[in-house]
Amino acid sequence: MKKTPNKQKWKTMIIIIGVLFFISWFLAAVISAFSGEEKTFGNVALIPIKGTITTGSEDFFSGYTTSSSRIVDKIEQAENDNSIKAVIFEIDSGGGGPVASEEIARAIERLNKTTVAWIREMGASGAYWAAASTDRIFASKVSIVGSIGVLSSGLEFSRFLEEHNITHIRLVGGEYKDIGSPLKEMTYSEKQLLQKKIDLTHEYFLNDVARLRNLNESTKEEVGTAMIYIGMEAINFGLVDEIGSKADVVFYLEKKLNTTVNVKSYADKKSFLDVLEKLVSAQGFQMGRGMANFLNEKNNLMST
Amino acid sequence: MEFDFSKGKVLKQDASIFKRLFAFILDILIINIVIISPFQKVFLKLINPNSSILEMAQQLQGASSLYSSIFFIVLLSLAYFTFFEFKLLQTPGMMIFKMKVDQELSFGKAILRNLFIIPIFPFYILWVIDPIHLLFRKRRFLEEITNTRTIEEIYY
Repeated sequence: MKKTPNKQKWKTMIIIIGVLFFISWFLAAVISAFSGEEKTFGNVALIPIKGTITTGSEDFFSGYTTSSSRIVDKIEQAENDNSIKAVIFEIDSGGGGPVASEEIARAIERLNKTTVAWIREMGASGAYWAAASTDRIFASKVSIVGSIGVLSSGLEFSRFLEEHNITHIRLVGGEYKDIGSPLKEMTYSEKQLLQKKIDLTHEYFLNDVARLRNLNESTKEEVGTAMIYIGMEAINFGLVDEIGSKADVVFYLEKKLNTTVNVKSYADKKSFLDVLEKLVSAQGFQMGRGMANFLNEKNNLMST
Repeated sequence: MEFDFSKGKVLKQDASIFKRLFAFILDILIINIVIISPFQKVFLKLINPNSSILEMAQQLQGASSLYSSIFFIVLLSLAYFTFFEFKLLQTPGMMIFKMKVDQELSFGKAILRNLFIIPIFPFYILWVIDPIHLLFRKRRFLEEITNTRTIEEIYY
């Protein structure tokens, strides 16, 4: 068995300990950086509502979206957490699907705790519906608020098909089965029908906002045009309660709850592995795109 | 037991249980300073220092950075024991108490000897098996598997 001289032993020991310490320090710094503002304690929950509101799940290809199911889950979590006395909804969204938006609005209304909407750049359409369900709305002077309306539009390719001698063969069981299909020209009666559905949805949305915000008839009519307002205008219509930042929201809650506020974020935390997964997905996608472009170019060269 | 009369009188025998225990405690203290303490800032972000122990435990539940930290702490602790035994046949704690592994180790054997560090099934079963085996057979279960021993050299 080889004998290592003492000096050599100590040197090796110091090197190993030094390397382990450096690696620990580095990993701790990386993990700390990725955990960001993650706090697991607090008496006020902060739930972000950002991006397009949908009923679907969030994934790499869906862009920046918020799933209504996830928001409702977080609201229920906050409801069941006895240490949480109030909930702040940090809103930065232009709205989304009507069902998804209503799900969030109802969940907020059902929540038996003080709720505050803090609108950042935008709290419009379905996102405003969620904000309207809270007890108090804060926005910046130049936040975009309102757009209390419904939008449903699409492209129609019937003439394109005609110009290119392509025939669309229509076989349906039920006259309105393919209503809204881009392959055929929409008839006047179909337009009327769809418009009626949109009007109904709009009326439902507007009435609910008017109820939640105690809007009088003339204000309701005005905001029902789906106009957008900036914060300092919106306050005159009763769409916003107060102009302020997060500090103002916290100050308001401290007065209301009569205690110091510690905000606990309920945002989805991206771990190091999540970021790595997204990077690998993005790389895979770009590689596939590059290969497809290359093959396309090759095909074009061969055919000319 | 080996007698080596040629180089000043050295008695090599299986290390006593108490020496092994104290050496292990010393190693854990070193691991605490070298490996665990850099992660303190990660843990402090997650808990309210004014909470009770139970509240702190609740605060830590579901914190993803906690699980990442634990994973790396375990990996580095395993590296600590493995590299010291592989390179020097002894950890710093064993060095202080004049103990060492009785033979040159391959890297695989060095890892195998220290698998008890991993706190998941089935490795945490070793927390019971290893000490019991040590009590009755004077060597740990993992030492039996790797056919190694931890010895102490007594000079007289």
